[in-house]
Amino acid sequence: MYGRKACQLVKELATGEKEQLTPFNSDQLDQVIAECSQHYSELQALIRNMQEKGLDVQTTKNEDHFGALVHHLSLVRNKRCLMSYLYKRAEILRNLIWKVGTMLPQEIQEKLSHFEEEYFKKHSASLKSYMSRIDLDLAVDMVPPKDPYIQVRVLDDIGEGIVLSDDKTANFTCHSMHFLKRTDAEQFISRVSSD
Amino acid sequence: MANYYDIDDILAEEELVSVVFQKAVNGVGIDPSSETDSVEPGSKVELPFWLAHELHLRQIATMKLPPCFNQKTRLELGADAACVDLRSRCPYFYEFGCKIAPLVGDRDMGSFLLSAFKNRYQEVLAKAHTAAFAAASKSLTVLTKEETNYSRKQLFLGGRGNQQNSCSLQLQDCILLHHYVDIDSFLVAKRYLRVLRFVEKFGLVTSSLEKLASNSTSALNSGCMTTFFSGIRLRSVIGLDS
Repeated sequence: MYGRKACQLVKELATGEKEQLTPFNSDQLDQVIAECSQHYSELQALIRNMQEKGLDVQTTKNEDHFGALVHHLSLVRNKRCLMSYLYKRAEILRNLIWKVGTMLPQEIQEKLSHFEEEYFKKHSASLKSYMSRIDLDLAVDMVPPKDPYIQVRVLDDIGEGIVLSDDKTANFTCHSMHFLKRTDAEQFISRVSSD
Repeated sequence: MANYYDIDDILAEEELVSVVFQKAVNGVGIDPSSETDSVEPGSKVELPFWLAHELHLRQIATMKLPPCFNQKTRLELGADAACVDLRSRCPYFYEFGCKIAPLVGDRDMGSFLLSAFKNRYQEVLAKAHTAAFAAASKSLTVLTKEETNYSRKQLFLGGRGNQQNSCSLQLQDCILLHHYVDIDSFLVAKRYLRVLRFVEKFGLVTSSLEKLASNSTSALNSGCMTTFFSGIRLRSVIGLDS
């Protein structure tokens, strides 16, 4: 049946977990595009057929016209399915920036197509330039903090004499506990969660 | 019209409808029983809705009412709506019903869908707030795709007693009612949701819920527009408009 393959592609999005990427199905995508070209050539053949009979393509409503219509509708349908497949994936990608940051883990990167990687890079670059223009890191504190200070325990030796925002230095030796400004601790915390 | 990229809308339009062709169509392979690449007038074919819809509008083919809306289903839903396994019949029962109703010229469809939704929704809501998640997930198997979407959220939120959130979620999810074919039942549905919100907030018992719901239906029938707009005013007055 026409449009079946494109619909399977969309179904793949629907059955997967929300906000989770499935591997980019380029095989199926190519098959749908091949189906589209097939529709197009058949549509052209029907129109040519009408022209050879000397009929006016604009006004005649014969069986060839209806056949061409079916092909046209299938093309439009396939286009909608493909567009929504790509659009939804792009949407998930855009959301990922806020969750995992601008560096994607390996297992997510493997699921992307070449164009999606490119898109992700460009999108994060423009986000970065926006944040530097307004001089504010929008990616921190996705949930508003209740207290500006936070108690942290150092999990890994990250060096001594790290300068904090109030011009003091702290020794972050392993397993030591600190009471820090949240903004100072955030960068180290996010480094742990992305590792 | 739903969002162009809406996945659920796309999948709902993939549901099959049987059509009878009125005109001959050349050069297409949509009739599996035909040996050539053409369709003869009078042949019966199962087509996905997106194709059948356009052919129906252009009078190339006429659409028949799909089996999931036949008399048998209606009787079953009338008997005990919450127990009917709608998922196996049509995962997008409401969406699909709303799409197909104006085409097959069925006047009762709107009210039929609404009453089915109303009865089933009540059951889902009750389950969400009482049953344990493990037990409730068994009953999820008979729900349509639309119903599972909101009942999942209900189950999680209802369990935590996060009522404010679940109220707004209900409204969000029931945007599916937007597609209600006739404006009457759409407004009824909207009002019904407000009633449900009312119940969520003030914890009325089920019998008074029923009463409220039936009141709003009859009120809407006797001048739905005015009631609806005064309802909005009323809502803002009593501060339900959160």
